[in-house]
Amino acid sequence: MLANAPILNRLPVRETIVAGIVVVAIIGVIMAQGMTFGVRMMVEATCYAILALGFTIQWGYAGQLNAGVLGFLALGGYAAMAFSVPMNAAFWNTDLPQQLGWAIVRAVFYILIIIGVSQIHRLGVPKKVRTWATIIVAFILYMMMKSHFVPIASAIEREAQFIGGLGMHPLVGWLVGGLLAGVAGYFIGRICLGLRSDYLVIATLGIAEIIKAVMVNEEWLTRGTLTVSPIPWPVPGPGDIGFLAARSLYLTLTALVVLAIFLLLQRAYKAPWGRMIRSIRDNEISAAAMGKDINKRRLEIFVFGCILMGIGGAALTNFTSIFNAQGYLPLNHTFLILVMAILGGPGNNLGTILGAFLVYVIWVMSEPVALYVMQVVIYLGDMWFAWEPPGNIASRALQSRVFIIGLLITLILRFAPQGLMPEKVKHDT
Amino acid sequence: MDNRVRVLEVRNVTRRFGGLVAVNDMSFDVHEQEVMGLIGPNGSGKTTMMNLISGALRVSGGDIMMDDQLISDMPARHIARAGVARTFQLVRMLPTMTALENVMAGAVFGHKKLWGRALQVHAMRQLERVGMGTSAHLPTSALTYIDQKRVELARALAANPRIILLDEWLAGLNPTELRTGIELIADLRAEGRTIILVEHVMDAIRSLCDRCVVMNTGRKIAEGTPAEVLSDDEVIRAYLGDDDD
Repeated sequence: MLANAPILNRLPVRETIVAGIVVVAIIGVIMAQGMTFGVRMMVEATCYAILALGFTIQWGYAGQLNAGVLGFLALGGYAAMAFSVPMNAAFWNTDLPQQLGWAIVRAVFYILIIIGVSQIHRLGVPKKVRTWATIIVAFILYMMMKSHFVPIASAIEREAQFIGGLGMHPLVGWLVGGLLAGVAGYFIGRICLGLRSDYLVIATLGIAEIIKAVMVNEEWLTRGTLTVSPIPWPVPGPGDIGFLAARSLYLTLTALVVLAIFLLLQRAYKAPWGRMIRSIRDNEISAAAMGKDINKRRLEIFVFGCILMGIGGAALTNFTSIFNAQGYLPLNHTFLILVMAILGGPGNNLGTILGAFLVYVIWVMSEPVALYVMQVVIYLGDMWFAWEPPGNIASRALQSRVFIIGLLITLILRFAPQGLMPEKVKHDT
Repeated sequence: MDNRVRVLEVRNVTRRFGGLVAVNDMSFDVHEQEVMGLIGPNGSGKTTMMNLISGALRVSGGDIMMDDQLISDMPARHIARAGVARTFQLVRMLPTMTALENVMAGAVFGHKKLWGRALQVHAMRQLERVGMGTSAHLPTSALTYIDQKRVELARALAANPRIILLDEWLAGLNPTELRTGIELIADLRAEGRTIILVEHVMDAIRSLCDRCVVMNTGRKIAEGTPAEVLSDDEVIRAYLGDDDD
């Protein structure tokens, strides 16, 4: 059943205990906060589980520490919005789509020119000249491209706010979101995977911020800071069948996605491809001596991880029903996922899913628990010392969330550096 | 012997590590179905030479040809697929896998592409060949060092290589195991494989090698049959030092 079980042939004691803790935690949340809240939390936890699975295969299987989960998540979220939001008549009824179409055709033409220039070394031009020629031509053509796009973009923003969606089924957006994140991951991987892992962290961190900055600023595509809502759900929404039923349906959908991804990953783990990945993970030098193409496999892993992040991001954004590019935050959308994967055990898929649930319960409950603790403190302070608390103490208490995540990371690294379900990973360089 | 087919040609190969020249202007040929011994005192550059042939290291200068292919320009994985397999002096197992999985991992890029059941049977036969059939499902971390070396040889054989590089594969065996090991290598030659071995066990060198290349401080100091090179004055000096008087 488990990735490492066939080797050990042991009873899944550890797995059962961790799963038990997760179930008890969820029941606790439901009892404290009610069913509707509990189901919402579980939906979000399943979305985070998809994201964490993407992260865990990159880190656990290939040692790639991707600190830019946020960027791939946002790409998925954008696709979920762009495909499911209704068509914007204010845009399509003008001649702007035609203008935009021509601008895109021009842009493609320019890109072809740039690719052409980057290949002139084949005609005997020295490589140094080629590099400079490519940079200069690319810069000039980029400026020209900008000059076509800027007036169209501002016209769109003026007359129609943004280009709107495509009005398709939201699940199309989920798939395209995965695809979009995968394509972005491919290009980023081509450039960055040659970097040592600590530099990869910095590169991905920066790229995620670039993706976010583009989304915030290209208002004609994303409505920028004005946000897009509501994003229709792939299942009947709360307005049709009520909160609890709609959220339960959504939960069924995301749980099925998690299950499908989990089963596919477990299957791949045992397949020749998975064995190849494990052989590279175990010892790169002997894998190369056995004919394995290490760089290509590493790129594949990176792209697969990004695809999962795109799908997870689409599911998460779709559930909140609002697309707000500025709402993607490193703490909520990168480091939280990182903590989930570390707690669960990097490279262990079941551990990662359970870790996602456990950390998300802690994350969600940190708010009400912190508030409750503060109220107790205020009550006791008033009773014993006639203490007058500062007025904003409630909002201060909410900041404890950051503290709790920091504390959690520290505790994990101290007491369970391999996670709750360690995967036997031994990197050998 | 020289009218045999030449499979590997090492020409003026040099490898520097910063200021240290580990392999200095080495040239030799290896013929089809030959066991060639690469010997010399510790630190003379034998393992570096093996790493250069298998592509684990790049040459700083010179060429290595396999048939008509220039393999010194190729990455290790392409050299492996061209039919060169190796073992490592310090074993490099895949520690999260069983012995059988290790061997299966080695078989996938052999000359024949094997999958599924056929792959398992093939891998199992290689393990039985090196005497590890009963340990196939143990994790490699549970194996002794000697047994790990055997699994590593099975993994190399699984790719059905033309050239096998053995880096001190016989070191540390007891006399019985050594005899079995020598017979196994002789069998591999009889199958038509070419073997280059780095070795310190003189019994093995005398009984197995058709030819030896002796290295000292990165250079070739002698080449010939084991009997010839082991009585060579310079070789004796390299191993035992100068006479004091």
